[in-house]
Amino acid sequence: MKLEGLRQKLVRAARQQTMSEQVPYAFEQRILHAIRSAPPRDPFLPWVSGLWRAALCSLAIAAATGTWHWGQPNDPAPATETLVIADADLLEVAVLGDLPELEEALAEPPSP
Amino acid sequence: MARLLCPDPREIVAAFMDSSDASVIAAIRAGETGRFEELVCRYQPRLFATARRYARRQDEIEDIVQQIFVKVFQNLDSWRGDAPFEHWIMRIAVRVCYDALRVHQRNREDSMTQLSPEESDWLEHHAAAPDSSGIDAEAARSLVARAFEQLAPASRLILTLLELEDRSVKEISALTGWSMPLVKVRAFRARAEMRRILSRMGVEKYL
Repeated sequence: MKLEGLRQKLVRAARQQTMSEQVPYAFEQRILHAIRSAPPRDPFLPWVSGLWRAALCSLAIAAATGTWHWGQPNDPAPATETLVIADADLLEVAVLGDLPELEEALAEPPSP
Repeated sequence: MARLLCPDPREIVAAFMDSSDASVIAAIRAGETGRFEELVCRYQPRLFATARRYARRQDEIEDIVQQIFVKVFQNLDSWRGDAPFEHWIMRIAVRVCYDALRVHQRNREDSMTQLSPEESDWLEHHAAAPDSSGIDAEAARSLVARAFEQLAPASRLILTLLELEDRSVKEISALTGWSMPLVKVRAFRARAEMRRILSRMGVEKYL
């Protein structure tokens, strides 16, 4: 806490200092010379950097997906079967859930 | 010979009151490259003041300002005019300064020199009277400058903008392109980092 107090006091002292706006002699001539002698900007440069980033992201995703895939158990059949049965039950409940009389009708033997 | 010198900034303001940034930029885009000098004369004092916060050697400061203007010229077509040109140029300035800090960090040798006699005097005075404003602010500034030299680039940038230039989180977010929560998180970390550096410099024995 004391250290934070000291830090704030130091920063307050530094804040009071105004930075000089002094410019070296004929600096604007140096800038104009630099601009005229600078090579023309490559218009594809932003695309290149963007594509590199995209490629790296794709590689990372591919590596993560590959690791996950190879880490899975080799015999997923029982789980799939259970899932299919569970899905079938859910479908039946969804379709026939609102029709209690249908179940009764199916349960009653046909009258002669 | 007189052509080589920029006039006084107040004269520039008076002379260019009728030629706004937008009209000068339109002329440059139309091929009058020489008119870029007007923008340079208008903004170079402010950019030098900004660059001096991030670099100490004069040649480094001049290189930073030159890079800013070259980037401004190369990207002038991307200024759409929906925000003031000054804001746009300051965004570029902050990014160039940040890049310069990162390069500087790679080439930096970690050296934690001893406190100077003036800095020790200042700290002793602080220990005796923590609530006083302090004597010899120059010693305090030197201490801050040395601590800032040791900060990571992002921390130095955020503390400079937030605590030395007294900018808001929203302004910093606009200048750096970082989200506002990220600015807050980085500011929190930067303060902690500065405390650690001060502690390493041996200021704790004065507390």
